[in-house]
Amino acid sequence: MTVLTAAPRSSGPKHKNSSAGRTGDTLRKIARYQPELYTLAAAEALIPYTEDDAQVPVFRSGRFADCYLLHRILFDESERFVLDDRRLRFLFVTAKQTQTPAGVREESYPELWDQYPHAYLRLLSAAKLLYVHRWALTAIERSHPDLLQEATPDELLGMLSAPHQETVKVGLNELHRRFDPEAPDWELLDRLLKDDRPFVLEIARGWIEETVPLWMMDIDRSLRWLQIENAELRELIINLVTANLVHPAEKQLWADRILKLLEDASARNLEGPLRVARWVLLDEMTERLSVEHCLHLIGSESPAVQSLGAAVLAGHSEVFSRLGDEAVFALAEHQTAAVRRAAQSLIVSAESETIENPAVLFALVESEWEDNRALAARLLVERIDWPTAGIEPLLGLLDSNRPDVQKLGQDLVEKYLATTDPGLFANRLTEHSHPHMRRFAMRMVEAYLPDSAVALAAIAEFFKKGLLETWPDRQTKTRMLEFLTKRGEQDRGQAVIAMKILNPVLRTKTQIDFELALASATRLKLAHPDLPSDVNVLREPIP
Amino acid sequence: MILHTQYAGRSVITSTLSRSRVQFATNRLREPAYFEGTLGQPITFRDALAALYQVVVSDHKYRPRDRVEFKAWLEKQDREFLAGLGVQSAEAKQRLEQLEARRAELEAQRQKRLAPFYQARRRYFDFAYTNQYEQYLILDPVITVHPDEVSFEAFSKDESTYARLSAKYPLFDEVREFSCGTTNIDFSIRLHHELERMRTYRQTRFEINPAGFSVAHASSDGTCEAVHREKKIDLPDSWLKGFLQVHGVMSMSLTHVSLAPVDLFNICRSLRRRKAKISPRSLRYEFQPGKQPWVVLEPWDQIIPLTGAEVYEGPKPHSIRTWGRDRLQVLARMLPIAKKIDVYLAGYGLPSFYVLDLGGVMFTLGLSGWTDNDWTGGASFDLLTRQQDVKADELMTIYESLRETRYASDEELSLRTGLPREKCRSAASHLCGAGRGMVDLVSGTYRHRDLFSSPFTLKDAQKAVSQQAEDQNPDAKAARHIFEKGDARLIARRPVSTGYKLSGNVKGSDGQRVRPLLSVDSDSRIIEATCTCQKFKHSKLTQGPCEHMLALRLLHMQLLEE
Repeated sequence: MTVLTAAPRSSGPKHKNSSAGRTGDTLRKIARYQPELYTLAAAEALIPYTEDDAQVPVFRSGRFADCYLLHRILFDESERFVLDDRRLRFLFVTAKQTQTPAGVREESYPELWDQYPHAYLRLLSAAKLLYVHRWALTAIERSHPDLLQEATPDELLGMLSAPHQETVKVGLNELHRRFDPEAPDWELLDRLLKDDRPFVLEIARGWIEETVPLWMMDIDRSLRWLQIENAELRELIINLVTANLVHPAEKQLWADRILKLLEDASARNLEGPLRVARWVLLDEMTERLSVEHCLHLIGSESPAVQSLGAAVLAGHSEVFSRLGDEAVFALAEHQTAAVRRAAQSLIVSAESETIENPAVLFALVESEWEDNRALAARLLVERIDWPTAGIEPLLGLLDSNRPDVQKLGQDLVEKYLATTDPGLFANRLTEHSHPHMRRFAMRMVEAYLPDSAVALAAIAEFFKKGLLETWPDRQTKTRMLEFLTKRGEQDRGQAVIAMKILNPVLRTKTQIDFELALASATRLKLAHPDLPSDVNVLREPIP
Repeated sequence: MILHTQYAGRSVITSTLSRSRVQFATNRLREPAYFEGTLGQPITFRDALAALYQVVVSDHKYRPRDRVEFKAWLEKQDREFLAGLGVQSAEAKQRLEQLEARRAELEAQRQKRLAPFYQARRRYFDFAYTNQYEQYLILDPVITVHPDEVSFEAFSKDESTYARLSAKYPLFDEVREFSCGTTNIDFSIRLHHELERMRTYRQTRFEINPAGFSVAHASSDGTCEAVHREKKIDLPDSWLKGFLQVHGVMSMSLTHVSLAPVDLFNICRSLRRRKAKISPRSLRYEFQPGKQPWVVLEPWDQIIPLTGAEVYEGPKPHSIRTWGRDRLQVLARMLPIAKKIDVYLAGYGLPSFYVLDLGGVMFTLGLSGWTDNDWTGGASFDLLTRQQDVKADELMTIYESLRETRYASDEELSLRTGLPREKCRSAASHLCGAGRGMVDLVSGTYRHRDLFSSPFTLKDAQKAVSQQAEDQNPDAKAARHIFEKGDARLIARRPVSTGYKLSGNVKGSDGQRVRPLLSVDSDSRIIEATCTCQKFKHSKLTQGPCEHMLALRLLHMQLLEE
């Protein structure tokens, strides 16, 4: 129940003391003394009524029996109702006549409605009650068929959200009638673009597509539209602008305007204009923005501005050598993807520099970003002359904590290790702390470790760490024990080292480890009986 | 308390193909401690720092699993089951099954279509979590530069584990310059990963300085300005108190056992291989006269002999149980390179310390009585020790002396200050409790370490000596009351090689008479104790000594003085 249906009980004529009653009286005074305002005032009084104010009709009580003010406006001239003064309720005179008789106008002051009909448009754009819409449409159809042509854009947009389908239809027809592809109503189009209802935006989309050459002539409007909130429409406008912005002179103008927009500190939502600049105005922007200016843009907070700065930077020549590899690396580690892409393109184009000094590639292959790592891996394979590069770069890759980089290193080792110093390589690889690398390191040790006690002693810690690893890695442990045994059996010097490594393992409480270590120690002891060890081999036959 | 740290740069490790440079950025808001040297054994240092990191991020506290999703699934199953009961006809049931199958199929398709989105979201959450974690949750280690070592101290996230890594100067091939002091260092997950790249074949420069690895950026006026990284961590009071308590426990009389590294390896390996599903999940150290001690892993009763331990020479067998043994796993990585391990046990359910000698690097791991019990939970175990009354000016004298020498034994402190040795020990213990010093278990010395940036004043000293544990603890107060009322009686007092054995009869504050038995050393520190009271029956000494034991000790002390 709204305030308009409220009927407080009080002394004297009840309607005089109710707010609805007082409003009715005021309306009558307006009709009498300011008739040109009556219909508008009455329309405003009708607009707040909703379907919730109506009730289920019962016998002589109609749907709007309790809506005092509505009755006063729409049914005051009717002979079908009688006011129940005690309850301030309108009842049908007889339950047999509930429908409006044909050709009869029941509203109060019908002559004023005829004289000032614009209020019908106001009702169609804002009223929530279905009955009011029907009543207004009937009146327009009957007496003012051309009235819709006077509707403002706001009223038309209001009609599109009316609860009555017929009102929506009428509004749409009027919108389409007004649209002229040769001379569109820009104000109306602006209003449509600000609306967030899908079907309204659909109309706007159609109109925009049909009038591209016209609105693109006005750069300010186009830039404004490139900044609209609705992402879908903004995307459409960006695509249309980039597809149609081809004339060089036009491009120059656009570039200047976008730069001006960029300088405007109050400008917001610059993604659209800046994407246009990145996609079709890159040459023009490169002419206007220096490398320093680009770096300044990259240092800004907005990802869109950073992206433009990066894209323009990549367009400049000799940037890699001017900035140096550390600065380019810093750009490549930027959190904005467009900045990273620009830095990547700088690295790709700096072929001679990266061949001469591949430090940036080695740094990039360790990047947090997958795209950086993938590029660096590709360039490392292509640009490094691995057969002559020595073992340091290979170790650099294998030292990584990232399994994918380690894998790259392993692949390169398989290919090029024969051309380097594999013994030294195996020795250094054993210092790797990553568990994934232990198995690979063991393979290298088996294949390339020099056959000497000094070489074995140098990597004793590697074996200790492998054999005293709390995570189970049976394969590596077995291979280590086998390797130590074989080396120990070959000469006494290596046997001493192997036995030193095995001694603590012989005290392990893990049964398999203990048995394997014991077997190895026994074999060593059999090969070198005088070897100092915790194990004593009894040569007496078992009885 | 909000811990505010500010770093001029980041701690980083820069590795080129031939050399590495470890730069630790220190807190600019603390005294400018710095150090510069070249590491001689980078691998040892690397493994020790990795273990320290494991301690910093470890969190063993039990948290019940979040079962919201499971409960929602269960409710859905119930609804479907009830809906199925209402469907009677075979045709309808078949149709229902078809629809269910179709829905499952569509759901699978939806999951497949959204998989890249979910993956990207998970990566983003991981990224955000890591950053937030570093920013607000990782408690940066405290670093102290001493004249003979650089030490790092840290607490685990669950505040139950304390770790101290001390790198002795012989570990360094060259020590260029240093300035003694205490500060925080910037410590991040990325730094931990970079530490793994330290190698012996790369010369490793080690630097601790306020600048760290500075990143400069151009300001609007064209000049360069350094980027300061700030961290504001809501430091729990318990963390701070824990720091103070650790050194209080270290100054207690502790049972010492030496282990061979393989012994601890056997313990860690066994614990990793299987999970105890029933109680007790303790590590029990068994001592039998004339035998090497051994460890029993409960509940399996698996015996691990301690091959590195000396034969126990005590008069009678006893055992010490400790809990939260999974925390020992952080030591696993260092076991292959450890030369020797010393274990210090405070008693049944009380803290324990594991000191690993890595050759140039000493790693001390302090474990609270059990995982859910942080260091402050059993705060009253400092009542086991007995501190002499120390005046504020005496405390200041000891503090200044320690600050000057940076580290000293109680004997050295006594010589320098002219105060009795026992008083020096009590004063040093007070300083540890006030965060102005620490105990070095390895060398048996006290070290100067200002945990707080504010200077130590006479007012602080007065506060430190007035806040004696006996004044704060209700058991200690009750004991004093019992003693003064004359409700404590000494039945037997027998001198033994370690001190005295006491037997008494005490009427507690609840009116019940109980029989406490104490074994105290010559300084009246409680070594062993039992009582027939409810508190002891319930929690042994894990909550500290009961009022009856303390009352009996007071009586004993009075007799000593007489």
